[in-house]
Amino acid sequence: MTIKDMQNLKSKPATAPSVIEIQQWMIQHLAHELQINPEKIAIDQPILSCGIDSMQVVTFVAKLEDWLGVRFSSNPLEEHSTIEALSQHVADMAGTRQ
Amino acid sequence: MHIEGHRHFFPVYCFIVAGYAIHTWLPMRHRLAFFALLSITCVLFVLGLTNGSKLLGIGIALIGICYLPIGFGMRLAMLATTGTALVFARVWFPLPFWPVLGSMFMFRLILYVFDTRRETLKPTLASSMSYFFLLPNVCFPLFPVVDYKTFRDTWYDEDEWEIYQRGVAWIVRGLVHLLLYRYIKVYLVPDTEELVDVPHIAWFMCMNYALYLQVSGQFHLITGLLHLFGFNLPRTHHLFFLASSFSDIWRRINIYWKDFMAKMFFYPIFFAVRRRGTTVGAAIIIGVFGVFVCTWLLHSWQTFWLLGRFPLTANDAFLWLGVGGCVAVNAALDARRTTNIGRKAWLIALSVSVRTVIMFLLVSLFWACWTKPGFLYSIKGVMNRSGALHGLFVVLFWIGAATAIGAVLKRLNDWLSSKNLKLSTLDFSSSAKIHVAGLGVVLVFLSPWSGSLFDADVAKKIADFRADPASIVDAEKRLQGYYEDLNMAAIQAGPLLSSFSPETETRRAQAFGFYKVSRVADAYQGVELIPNVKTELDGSPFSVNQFGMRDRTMLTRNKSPATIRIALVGSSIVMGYGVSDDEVFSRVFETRLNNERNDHGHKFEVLNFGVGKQLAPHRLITIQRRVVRFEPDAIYYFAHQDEFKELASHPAHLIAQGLELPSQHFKEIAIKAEITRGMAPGAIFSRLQRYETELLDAVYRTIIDECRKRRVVPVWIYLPIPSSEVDKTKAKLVPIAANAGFIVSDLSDWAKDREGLFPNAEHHPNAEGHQLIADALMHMVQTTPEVMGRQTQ
Repeated sequence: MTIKDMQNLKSKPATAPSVIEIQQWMIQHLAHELQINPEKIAIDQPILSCGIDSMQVVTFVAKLEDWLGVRFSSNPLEEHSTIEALSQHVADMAGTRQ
Repeated sequence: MHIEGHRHFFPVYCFIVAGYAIHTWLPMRHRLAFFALLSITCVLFVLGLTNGSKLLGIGIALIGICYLPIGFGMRLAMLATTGTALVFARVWFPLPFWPVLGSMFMFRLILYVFDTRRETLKPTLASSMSYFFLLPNVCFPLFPVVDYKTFRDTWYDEDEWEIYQRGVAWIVRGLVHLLLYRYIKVYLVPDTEELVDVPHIAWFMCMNYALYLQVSGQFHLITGLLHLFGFNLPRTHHLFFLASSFSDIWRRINIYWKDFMAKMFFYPIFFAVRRRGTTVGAAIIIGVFGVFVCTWLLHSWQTFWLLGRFPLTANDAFLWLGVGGCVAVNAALDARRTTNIGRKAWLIALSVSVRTVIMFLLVSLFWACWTKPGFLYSIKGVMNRSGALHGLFVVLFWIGAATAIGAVLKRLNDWLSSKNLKLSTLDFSSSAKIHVAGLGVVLVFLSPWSGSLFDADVAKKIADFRADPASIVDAEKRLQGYYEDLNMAAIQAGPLLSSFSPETETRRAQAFGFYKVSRVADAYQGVELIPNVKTELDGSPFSVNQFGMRDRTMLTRNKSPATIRIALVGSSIVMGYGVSDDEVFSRVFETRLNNERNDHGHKFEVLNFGVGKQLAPHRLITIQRRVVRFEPDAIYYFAHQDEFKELASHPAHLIAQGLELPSQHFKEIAIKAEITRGMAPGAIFSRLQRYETELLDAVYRTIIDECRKRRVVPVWIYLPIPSSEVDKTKAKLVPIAANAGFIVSDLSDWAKDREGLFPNAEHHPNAEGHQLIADALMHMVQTTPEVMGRQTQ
């Protein structure tokens, strides 16, 4: 991943992103966090089974919060353990907020 | 071979293997219920019907609350109330099943309630019963904190034979860890007397840290056994000796605990703090620090349930919060760290290796400070001696060598990975063959008849290695660390299991029992009774008064004018281990004195200063510090066949720590033995060992000096434990006591050849035995009236 890619990931979306965009964002970020190929991450696979630890979880979620301008009241991975489920939940949150 | 023999592991292991055979034959829909039934039966098998039923009853009540058709808040309130009641019950009713019940519910109930709080469908009873009464838990009070969701979701989530094979591999790994622990504990950890210079200190730190293999061994064994029943649980430890940062050690060591802390404390704290607008770094630091505060408190919570006390020490607080700070800062830095892109591969490998070696040393230091309070203080004493820095360069060399080797291995590993040349995992058949073969070799090597294959020396070493190190540690009175202390929480077996080895079971129960009423005192005293303890030992009431004596609370230091006080000083026999408060011979003797004698209207008080695990030097200190303050008219000092024990090691410890010797008599011996300041502890001990008779004489003469100062009549009483062996000790002891100035009384025939006075062939007499001792004392006072003190003359 290039520096430009990372910068693109950090910038906030102008409008509420779609579920697909959120999933892509998550995959890219997880791949960067875990130093693995994004193709190895499946959207229906529990995120915690990718080998992510608690520090990486909170960093990942914090970046997601900052990107979308939302705040979670608890660890969202507890209720929405896969990228698919989390992206749907987050999209609902971001859509509702807007 | 006694692997975890004090936990009754072997019979339970056989039980588990038989259960596994049936379990694999059952259709899948019945397996969980069968496992639950097996677990419950195992509780009854190990603890017996009475204690097992009580445990199951309380456990089922707690589970039942979780199933009540009421709101979550109400259920939580009911659980909190019930939990509070159980805490008080734990304190007031010292029953033998508390460690097991606590181990099953103290953490898992929290996780269970948390994981099921939002579920509309309650878990099945089989699932809940299996989770709480987990089969191996009855043997292992120190148990991994199994997460309920993980427990439920990983059940047969892969091919069953892969799960079973992984379980076998982990069982083997666990056994290897436990054997390594045993070897290190018995042969490699140096005694504190041997910490004379930097190399010995470094070796001690490394070997002491390596003792954690006991915990990782048990946890691998436990999770391996659970795999046999389909629970495909994740690993509990992962190469923790190779951690390269504070965060890394937290991630690798006791992974279930880390996940429990993350779920229950780290995430809630982090997100709560983030909602207030805190940065990620600050939220991480606060969250991690909060986790370590909870870790400190929950370790004490665990100790409460397993050992019956709730320790909150400054040492523990300092260590845990200090480590918490390091992990917090490390974690915050990790969150901001960039990747290693652009750095040379060798530099990365060297960096990782250096950090790993440093972490190993730091964790070893933390471990030494936590498991041996006062470690830094004793090291400071060592470093002040001349010659302490000898060997520093050797240590530095080995640290450098370890770093270099680590860098090479890391680079090699990275290179192999880059070329996809890593070793492939074994297939099922190869894995099975290797693990079964390895297990077979270990079992053959360590079975009782294997000694015939080797010469006598090797056979003896193997036989020693087969023995349970817990008994060796007990016998040698070695200090234990935190986890070893928790692991000593004895599982009191029910009648069925006890019948397999009654003597062993009695010794275990005694060690555990004494632990409940005593604590480590200072270097002079060794051990002391805990004041104001009221408990039961072996079913007999045992009370300790406010003065730390097994005696009445109504006692006062000041003696009333018409009272004759006799102070009894001695061992656990004098203390009255194994009998109730009013059956101890001191109480019986006092009652008979008051009923049968009429000494000018005087009343008699017999004060019991007996303490278990105290020997002659400790009893001298008891007399100097405590007995004399009660203004006794006579001191009865009880001696047995073990009177020569620890005569050299006690003053050697005092000298090594720079402490004052109890009297001039001891100082003269130290001069005679040419002991100098700065001498290594081992050297001091070996010189003093040549003066054992003189040391015992010094003990006695010091007691006589204390008595003469206060006009107290000193009486030395020989009270041997009846034995078929010829007693050669009496002939040595009596002249020493007489020459020192004692009135000597020989009660060798107190038992009058009666049988059945010592239950389970151990050395604490029963109630009838105490009556006989009281009879012998009554006879003594009748035939030797001067032992009663000057008031009667």
